[in-house]
Amino acid sequence: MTLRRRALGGLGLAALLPGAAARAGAPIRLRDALGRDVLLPGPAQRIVTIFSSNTELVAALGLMQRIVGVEEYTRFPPEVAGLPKVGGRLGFSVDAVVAQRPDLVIVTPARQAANQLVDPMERIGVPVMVLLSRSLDEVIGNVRLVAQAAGVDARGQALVQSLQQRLRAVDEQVNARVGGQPAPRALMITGRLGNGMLLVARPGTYTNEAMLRAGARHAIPGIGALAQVSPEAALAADPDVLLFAGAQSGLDDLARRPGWRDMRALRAQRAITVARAEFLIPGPRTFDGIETLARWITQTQQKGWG
Amino acid sequence: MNPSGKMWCLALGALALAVVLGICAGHQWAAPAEIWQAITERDTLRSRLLWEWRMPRVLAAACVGALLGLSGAVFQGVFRNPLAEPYLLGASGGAALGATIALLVPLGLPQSWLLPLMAFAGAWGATILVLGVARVAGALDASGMLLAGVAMAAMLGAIRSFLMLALSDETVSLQVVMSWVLGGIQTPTWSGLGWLALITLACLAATQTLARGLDLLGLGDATAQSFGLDVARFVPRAVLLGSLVVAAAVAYGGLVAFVGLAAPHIARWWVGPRHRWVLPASALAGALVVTVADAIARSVLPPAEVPLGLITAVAGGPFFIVLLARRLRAYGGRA
Amino acid sequence: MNDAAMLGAAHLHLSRQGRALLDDVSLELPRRGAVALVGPNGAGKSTLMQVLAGQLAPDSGGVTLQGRPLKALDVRARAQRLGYMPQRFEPHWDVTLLDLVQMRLADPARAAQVLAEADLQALGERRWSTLSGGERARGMLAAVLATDPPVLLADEPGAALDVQHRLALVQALARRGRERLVVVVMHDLDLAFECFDRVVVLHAGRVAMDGAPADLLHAPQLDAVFGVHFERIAVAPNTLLRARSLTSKDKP
Repeated sequence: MTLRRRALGGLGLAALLPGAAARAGAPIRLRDALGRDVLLPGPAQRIVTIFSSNTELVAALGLMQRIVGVEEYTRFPPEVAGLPKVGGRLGFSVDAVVAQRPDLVIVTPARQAANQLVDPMERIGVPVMVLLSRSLDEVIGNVRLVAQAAGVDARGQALVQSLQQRLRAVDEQVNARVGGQPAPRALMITGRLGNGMLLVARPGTYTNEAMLRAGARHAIPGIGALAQVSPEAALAADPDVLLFAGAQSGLDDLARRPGWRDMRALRAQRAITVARAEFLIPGPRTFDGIETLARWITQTQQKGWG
Repeated sequence: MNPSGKMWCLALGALALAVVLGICAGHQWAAPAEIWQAITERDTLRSRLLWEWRMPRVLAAACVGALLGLSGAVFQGVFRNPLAEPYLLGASGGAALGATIALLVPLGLPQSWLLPLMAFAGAWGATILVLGVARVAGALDASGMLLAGVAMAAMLGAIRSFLMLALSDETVSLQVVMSWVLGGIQTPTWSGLGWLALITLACLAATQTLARGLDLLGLGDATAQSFGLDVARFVPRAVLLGSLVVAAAVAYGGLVAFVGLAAPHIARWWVGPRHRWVLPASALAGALVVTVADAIARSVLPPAEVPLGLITAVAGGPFFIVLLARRLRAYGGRA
Repeated sequence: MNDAAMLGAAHLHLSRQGRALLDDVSLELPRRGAVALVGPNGAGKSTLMQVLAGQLAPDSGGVTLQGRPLKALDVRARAQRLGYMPQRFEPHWDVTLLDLVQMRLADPARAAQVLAEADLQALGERRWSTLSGGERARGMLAAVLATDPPVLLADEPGAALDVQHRLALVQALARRGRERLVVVVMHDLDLAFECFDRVVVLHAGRVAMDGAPADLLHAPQLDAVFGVHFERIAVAPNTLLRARSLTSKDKP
């Protein structure tokens, strides 16, 4: 809901800007996240978006109707339900992508997508753009890239400015911390592995940066590149705030682990769930998540850390 | 019963038909006329799909199948066992480990050539290790190598499992490794295909030199020796060459199951037990099987592609059972 | 020159796991002759054959072939000059007789001719599994002799055959002994003493007796070696041996 309102807001602004209409026919040259040169003969009209993040980027620019193919994991926006699927659990199909006659494929190197699609598309002659989201800046940059590729530069610029503005507002809110308190130590659990290990947000990812911008700091400062953390390590870190990307039932399940009830965050009821769609899909909704989390942290701080 | 020239022509014709079928197959089936169009002019997206993507893929499948069949025949000849297959001496474990490293460890090198290179190095390296272990243990004969191979496979599997657990996170799932391990043709460029074809022909020629030795080995070590075969020198040489062939197959096609086991049997059923014919016949049978299986893999479950190894394994299971049931029959060797 | 040593063994020693299989065995075998190698179980007959064929290396001592040490010859040269018929032969792949002979020869085209000379051309295209025991023995012999090796070593070649085929095979081997050297391990003592012109008796890894059958037949040492009391039955012109009873040390 929020996405559409904001997007439309951005669009409204963009429509007033001169030169907003895309110039059809002029070739567009871009550089994607892997440093690859992407050359489009004209603004992309038939786009295949692999993974929810890329779909949402295109949708946020109001270009939903230009999407001609998605994959099984994309659920948002609801309009994607009727679109042709070009891949999913068992991989991605070059045939299916080509069948949609796209003039742009947007992909993120997760699962086998990049391996299976970048090379074939290049050889067949379909422009393909690889996007990464290692930081919030990169997420914002992706908005610009997609807008350029679709020939809606002005719309993209407007959306970018709106997102940056929201981020600045959150920064102000965070800086005006109640009583100059330090940022609470937070641990965001993003998943659980079969052997009991936990996946947590770690430095160098947009998820972590989102958490930091919302006013927290990482409970395990020395955490390295490895994504997995043992439950004991989480217990030892004893964060002030525990964030769980998922459903409440999952959080309750975690809380039942031996020793976890004594965790500071759980005793003081400062353990909440955050939306996976906001923190694990890099896109405009991430900024919704940052705002929500920042608000909650500020409120909790105002109530005091009893 | 030496196969006549006519039989070979028929078989090659069948392979050509399979290749055409393969190029037509996919989520959107192509008509043979479109193939001709794709060869002569490439102005539509569809023609480019056929020319740049499907054709090299199908021809690569044929080559990989030929290599698998060839190495299967060599291994069955060396180990004198109709259940021997080319992954016995650690090639699969090593290749899977190499592929896992290429896929999961961020080395910053382009994966299009890193993956086949690591798979090849893994397969080849593991076999050399196995032979080395067998030699150090003073057991450079068939059973010694098999034992060393079993031990090596266990070790490599453990290392690979550890890597998979340690390096997986939300974005890089284990699926990436699984789908390679289950087998699938990496579509080469036309120049890459040229190399693969050259390698296949070279392997065909090189393995022919093993034909007499493999025949003699089938008479038993003592008789082979008394008929003039230096068994102690021949066996490692044959194993090394067979492993080179399977490493090449695995580099381009992942771990495709059962073809190395089944193709030599099909070959022996068709041309008899002399290796001079079994080796090329096995290559032909392997090429046929993999080409058809790849066509099925690409068309049966849109929009996904079923991993090639699953198709061959599913088809291979019943074949295996039939083989066991016919164990004591002629042409298949003795139990 | 005619009877100069073709195959010679000098002071062969071979031990496995502390047990001496061959204990200072020396033998001189001429260019022509049918030699029977006999002895009780465990005497070392098969071991000696394997060493003579170059398949087993002795701990010490050496084998010479045509005056040259066997070790110095490569596998192919040995294969040409030595024919070896193993005790058990079971090919793994179901080959035809023609295939088998082709595998023996450097020039496969000669294979059909070899079979014809041995009167086996009718069996040439038959697969091994379809041949009877007698046909297999004849076929294997033809294959082994296909290179006309100066020395033929046969290890109990008639073991699995019926009386007719065994007799035919042993007679064929003995006949060959008129032109070339043939050494055959025999369990059937009567056949050994009757068909061969020299008998070597092995006992506990040593050469116990070595000479013409007529000389050895009546020697009491024979009884001791085999652990039985033999009754010598004269059936002109031969003497048959019949084992009557066990020697005293084995009596209950």
